[in-house]
Amino acid sequence: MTPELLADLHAIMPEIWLVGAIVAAVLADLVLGERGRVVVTLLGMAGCALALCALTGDVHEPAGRVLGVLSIDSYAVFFRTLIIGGTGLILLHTLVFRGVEDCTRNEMVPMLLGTALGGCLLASTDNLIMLLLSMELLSLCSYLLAGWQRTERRSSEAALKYLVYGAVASAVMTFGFSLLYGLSGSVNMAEIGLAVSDAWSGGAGSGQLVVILATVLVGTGMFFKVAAFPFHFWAPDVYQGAPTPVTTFLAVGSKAAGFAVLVRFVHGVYLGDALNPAWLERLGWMMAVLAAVTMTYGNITAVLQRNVKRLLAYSSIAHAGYLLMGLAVMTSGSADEAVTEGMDSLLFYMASYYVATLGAFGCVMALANRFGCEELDDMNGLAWSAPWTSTFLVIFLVSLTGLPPTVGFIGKWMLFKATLDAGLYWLAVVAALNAVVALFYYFKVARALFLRGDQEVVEGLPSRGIMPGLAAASLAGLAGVAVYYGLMFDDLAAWVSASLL
Amino acid sequence: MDNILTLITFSPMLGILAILLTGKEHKDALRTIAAAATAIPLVLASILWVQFDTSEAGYQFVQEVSWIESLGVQFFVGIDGLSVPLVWLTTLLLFLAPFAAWKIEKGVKGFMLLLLLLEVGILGVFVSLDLFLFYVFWEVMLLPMYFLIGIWGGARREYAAIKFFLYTLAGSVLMLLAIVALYLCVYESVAHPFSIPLLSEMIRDGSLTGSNLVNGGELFGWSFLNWVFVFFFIGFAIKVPIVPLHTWLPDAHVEAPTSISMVLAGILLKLGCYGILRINLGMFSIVAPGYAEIGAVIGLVSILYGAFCAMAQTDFKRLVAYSSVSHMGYVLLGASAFTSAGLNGAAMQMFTHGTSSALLFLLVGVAYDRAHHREIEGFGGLANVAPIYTGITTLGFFAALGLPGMSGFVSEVLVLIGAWEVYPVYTAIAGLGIIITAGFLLWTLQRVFLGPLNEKYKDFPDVTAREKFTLIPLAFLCVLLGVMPMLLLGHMDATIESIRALFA
Repeated sequence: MTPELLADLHAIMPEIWLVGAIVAAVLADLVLGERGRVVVTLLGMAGCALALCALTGDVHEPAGRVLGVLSIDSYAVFFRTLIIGGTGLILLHTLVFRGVEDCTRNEMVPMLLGTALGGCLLASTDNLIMLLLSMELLSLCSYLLAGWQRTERRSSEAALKYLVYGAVASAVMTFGFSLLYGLSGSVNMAEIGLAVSDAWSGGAGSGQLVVILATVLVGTGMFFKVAAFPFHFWAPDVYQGAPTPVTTFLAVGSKAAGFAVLVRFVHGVYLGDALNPAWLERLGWMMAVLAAVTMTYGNITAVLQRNVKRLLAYSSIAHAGYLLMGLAVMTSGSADEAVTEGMDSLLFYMASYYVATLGAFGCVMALANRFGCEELDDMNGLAWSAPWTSTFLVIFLVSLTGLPPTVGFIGKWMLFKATLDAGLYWLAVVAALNAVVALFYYFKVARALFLRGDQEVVEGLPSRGIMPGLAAASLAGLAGVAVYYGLMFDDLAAWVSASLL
Repeated sequence: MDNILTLITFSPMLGILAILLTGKEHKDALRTIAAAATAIPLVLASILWVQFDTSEAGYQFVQEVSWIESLGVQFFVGIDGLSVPLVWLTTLLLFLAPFAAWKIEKGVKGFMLLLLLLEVGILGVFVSLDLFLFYVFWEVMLLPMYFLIGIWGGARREYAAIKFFLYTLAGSVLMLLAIVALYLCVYESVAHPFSIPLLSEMIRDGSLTGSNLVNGGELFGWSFLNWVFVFFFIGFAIKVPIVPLHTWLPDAHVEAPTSISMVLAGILLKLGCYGILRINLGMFSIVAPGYAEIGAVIGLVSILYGAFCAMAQTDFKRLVAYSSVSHMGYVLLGASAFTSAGLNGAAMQMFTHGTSSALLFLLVGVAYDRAHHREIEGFGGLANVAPIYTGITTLGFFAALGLPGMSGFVSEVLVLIGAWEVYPVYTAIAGLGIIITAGFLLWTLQRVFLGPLNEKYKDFPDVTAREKFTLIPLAFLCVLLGVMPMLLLGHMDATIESIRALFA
């Protein structure tokens, strides 16, 4: 093997570990069958752990390019860390999740690892073909996972809905890619950026039309993936119908990968060296409006929900709006400072959203495992039986609302700072008032758990073995992380700042 | 002594640890731990009170520790004449709260834990000199309050708890935007962009105008400092509360358990007033005069509206709650005058109302514990069976309505004298508020305690030893400060003068 190839392989070591874990999990499933579910899960988690070690081991600076299609920079490392770490935790929770039959549980492990693999590649690529392939890998595994509860009508409905919408969105995005290819003759984002800039400065002829059309088409596909308004319609049904571990992945892993590629695309294509102020102004304005509408729509609709998974689905739409604020700042002006600050705040917010959402879904799963509840009304008074899980859930919800002393507050802080600095005063005010709406529905969960019901201890289903304990410990760990980084976030902020494109 | 403020603020954490380690079935142990844990800050704050240098206008007992380096946030605490009485009052009321809550049987562990957490939050706000720290404490205080009202409150507790939370948050997110904006103005030029003394200095000497922001920080033709001032003001005004942002108050105060109503009325309202005096007046002294008259009118409206509403109430606790709205109006009226007497009166009113309203809520709680209702018309002639209770209540009412010789008289007269120099018309109308207050309080006294005894309550027990323990210190303070107001004014005077000098 040539040294170059070795270095390439080294750079995608995490992905190789994931593939290895997929193979190992499939083989272990074949040999051990249903009884080996702990082993299969542990293999999957071990794969994630090794991949994480490989990630933290060597950060490639300057950006290492692999096979000409992957850009393994610190930005990719940031998102891959989130995705792989999240998947490892989700695997643990999948093992103890009561909603799926034991005979199909093992097969979820390679599937989840497959989504993670797709997400990692998606976060690293700056090549449109690779982007499409990895997004399809992520999506196909997600479609299957969403319908995993075969006997549940809702689950099948979720899978079909996700598949149909997803296929259309992919097709539309691909059409946009083909336009961009036609414009530039390249599938590399940076080269497309040059061509887009040229086409725009060519005047109000067909060049501009193509750019606008391609942007809208590509935007549709990517906004679908991150569940931003107006391409969010799939999210509530799919989130509610899918098994909760899968919902968790959709809310965190899938969203992180979607934003990773969205930001890389915007950065590469529109904010390259040849950026065009007139064009940027329109894009920035559009992003700001979409951010405001997405968060307001998500929050206000979330208020009406009675199912906790559905509530979190709308909340994840709202958070897509918050994340879009970062993108709005990036595209708000031609200053490099705005690009850096916007991306910085977006990445930090993503990290804070990631921890809190992972934790919140984990708590919802823990409660559902013990008490079989997903409707808010069924959760009444459970805090008296499960005080710790409920307390952790409140911590995560507080973080999602954006109140100190949690990392969510710092995430909001970063966003507000970037938005005000970019002069988008109205957007900052809209976002701030949205936090008040968010508090109302997040605390509907706290209200059900703590304030309602007859407030007496009820016995839930017993949990067997050590794994539920481990899952609970992981929630405690996440809650600790959420509070720790709310008070001492220098390290996290430094990591984020070092991970920009 | 350098870290005494840190010790005061975080000493309740010891109690939290101890409570976590105690089983929930040991209720008396939990109550005792909470009482002991709140005694520590009270003792420390008393030492602080004695050690406080009354001739010094600036901050004392200052401690500065670097906290979040990437933003330049410090753990920066200190007190001056404005905050030292409030710190002491907080430790006193929080020390009395576990005793007032002794009868609570449901979830004692959680209650005491949240109470201690609440104390940390409140004390933190009063001692913070770093805006970031200030905001963190400000929000940290909300969470325990939500659960304290929501779990242990009355029939409409869910509604009251979330309403309280939402109202406060709506104000505080605007405050957060203001803090972020201030940070953006100065973070490139100074090492500690959240320091309140530093920001005050920069705003005063005109080096902080928002000119380095996009569009000079202007929006809709309003200058940067005006926006920031108004955002801070809304955040604090909701907490005060001013009419028409007061509607959370009657609900929260009425639904909360007695001990929490006491803390709400006694201290939480003062947080808003404190913020207005410390930030809106102290920091934005070049903008504030433009809003003085609006502040005075808001204060006047609050005084009258609160008093009229109180008069219309049939629920004893709701009456006390509305009287708080009225009394907080005096603080705003006094503060808007920018005169020595007005500011002293405002600062003193915060303390005197803190003692008298806490006392009244405790007294209402005493009646409720026995009769299980709070209808004013449902009592009658209690003086015949409960003379001590009647005596203390009468004293509390007199303190609240500002009878000479009681603490409320001194602070209200100071406010009216101070405001008279600037707004004679408003002050004259505000004087009506005192009459209305006297009217509804005396009328209530008559309906509840005088007249023929309601036969239902012929066995109405008088106050118990535990209740006396909570009532007497507050009653004593009401009298003491009425007779010797200099005990309090002496501590505040230098600082208040320095604030007044900003507007000279």
